[in-house]
Amino acid sequence: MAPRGCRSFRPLLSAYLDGELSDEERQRLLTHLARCADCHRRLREYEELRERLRRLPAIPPPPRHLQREIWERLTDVEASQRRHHRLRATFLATALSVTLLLATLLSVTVGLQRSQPPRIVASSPAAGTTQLWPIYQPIEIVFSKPMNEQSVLMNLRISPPGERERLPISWSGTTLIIGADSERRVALLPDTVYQVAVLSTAEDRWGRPLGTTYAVTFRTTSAIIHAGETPVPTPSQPQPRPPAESEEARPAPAPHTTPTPIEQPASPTPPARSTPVHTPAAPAAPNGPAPLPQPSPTVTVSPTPQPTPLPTPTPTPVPEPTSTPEPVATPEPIPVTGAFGRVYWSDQTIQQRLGNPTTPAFVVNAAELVFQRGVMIERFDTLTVYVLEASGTWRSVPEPAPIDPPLEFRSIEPNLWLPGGTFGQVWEALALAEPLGYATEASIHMMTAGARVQNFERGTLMLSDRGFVYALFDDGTWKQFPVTN
Amino acid sequence: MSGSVALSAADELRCVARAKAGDDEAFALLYQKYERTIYQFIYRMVGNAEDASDLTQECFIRAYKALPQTSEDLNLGAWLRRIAANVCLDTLRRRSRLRWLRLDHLAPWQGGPSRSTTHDPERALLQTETQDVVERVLQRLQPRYRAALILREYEGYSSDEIADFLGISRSAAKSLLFRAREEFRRLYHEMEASTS
Repeated sequence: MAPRGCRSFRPLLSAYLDGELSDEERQRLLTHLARCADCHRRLREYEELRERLRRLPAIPPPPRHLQREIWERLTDVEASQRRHHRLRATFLATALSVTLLLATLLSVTVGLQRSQPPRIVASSPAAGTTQLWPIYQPIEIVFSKPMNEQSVLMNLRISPPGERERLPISWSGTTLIIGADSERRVALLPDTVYQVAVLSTAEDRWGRPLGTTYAVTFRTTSAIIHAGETPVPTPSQPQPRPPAESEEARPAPAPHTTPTPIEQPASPTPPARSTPVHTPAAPAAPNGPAPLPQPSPTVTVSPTPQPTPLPTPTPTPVPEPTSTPEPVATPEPIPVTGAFGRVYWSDQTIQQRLGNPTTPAFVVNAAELVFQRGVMIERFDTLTVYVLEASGTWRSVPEPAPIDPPLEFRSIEPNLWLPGGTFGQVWEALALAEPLGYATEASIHMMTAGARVQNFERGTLMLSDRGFVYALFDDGTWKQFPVTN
Repeated sequence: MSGSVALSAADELRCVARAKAGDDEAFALLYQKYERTIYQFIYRMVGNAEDASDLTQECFIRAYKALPQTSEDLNLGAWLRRIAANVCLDTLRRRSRLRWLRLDHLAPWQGGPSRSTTHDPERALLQTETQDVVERVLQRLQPRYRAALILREYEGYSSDEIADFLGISRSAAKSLLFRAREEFRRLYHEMEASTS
């Protein structure tokens, strides 16, 4: 039997887990938790319950005959009413839509389909969803007609990029299934922001391209609270790296101080969301790699030089013609081409937000590490590390001085790692465990062909060699665009 | 593909307006958008495909009948979820005992994670056993507790939304979640002890 005092805290534990306590209640509870092992245990049990429920097997899709049966019942129900004739008509119409795939196949035989461009008619999760997506639910994308499967796979972009290789991919008719095939089903990463995109250049079986890029961004389920003061973290709640024998001398990582449920918009730390467009963090420099908008004291300790305001192009091979920026008396239009052009010229909002290009595109040596809820990019030309959070804000920090031995990647749970190297140093120094989560890859991705960069009046475009353009706006926000390399 | 038709928010509003005016094709589109999510919620509530199909039918038939009387600013997704919760709770109240089927009949990719995510047979067995216990505990929970937990923990809805779906106040929803967690915990320990 719990002490009387503890019983009064039990409802608060439940609400705490859901992120629905007032500041005062939360503080009161945390104070109690700090000295009550029973309540700690109870909170942990609630968290385990959450994880167990979220790891239940996926529900199979509705049977194909369900829609027909519903329309038959509606027809019966409404038989004596004025809607009867319309229902029957609708039944026929709906039956047609249910057998869309069959009709599509039929139309192929009469040659009609070849003339129709393909399109994506549905996806699960649907575009624009804000609901958490169960980690054991495969992702489905439905095309209007049979596709060139190889072409679709070549034009498929998944972020985090490592998931492209890890998740099984299969087809069921015109439905692309990501996360399952006939032999296995693989869970998505927990508490992670995914972007799945099929590029506009994906072709159907007759060589007709999709025409527009389809992208869906969503966040997966997992435990919600990020307990810093709660000493009972669940595996998917990033915590500071535990000290290893060889790492005793490493500075203690910055602790979390505030549980941040994703439902709490008023939380001091912006919660990760499915759409990476967010409140500006702080204005950055007008051109080139921006200095840290909000300098962190943990970083200023580092003797690393500040990033230079404008990068110097390196002689790394360039995928498209570039030139060294030189001041000219009469400015000529600076081209925006290739992947950057596809992003820039296809979206007027992007043009307005970035302004005109101030340099041609150039290539820099760079590395990248993707996290559950964001990405870090290191530019070796400016010794700058960019931190892009899925909440939609970004910042840059000077590369920290190397330490010896360097931080190693360490597996924390399946497919998630404590970051190592320079990124690990920044991750710890800036206490990025909560906003970014763990690394989704076990090593830093070196961009062997370099990263393409172009500066604009109010921001920068960067192209990762894994098929994503990052638009970094000077107002402190960023967007990600899947592109053909 | 069942359900999940891609309708923008604006398209959905237009479809709702048309369906309210008696346009059955618009209702069919709305059905196709929500079929899957409603079916899956109901399936999780009742635990088997047969009942899930029956109750999904019931849910959409109720929706079809009631749609013309709804307000202009109808939030269709929340409204359908509310009907689905009511349909489940009504049905479960009427039944003294539910039929729960194991999910063994699923295709391999639809089965549990233990079937594919680990090559460690012992770990796989443990995962399967844990899932079985979780499903049996869910089966024994009061339907309202079950609904609250599924909506919160599995589907990620807030207390406000759960309150809306179940027709109760926000504080009642928070209280319901607390009691559901307590009851789940108690039954889980009980079942674990009996199986060990």
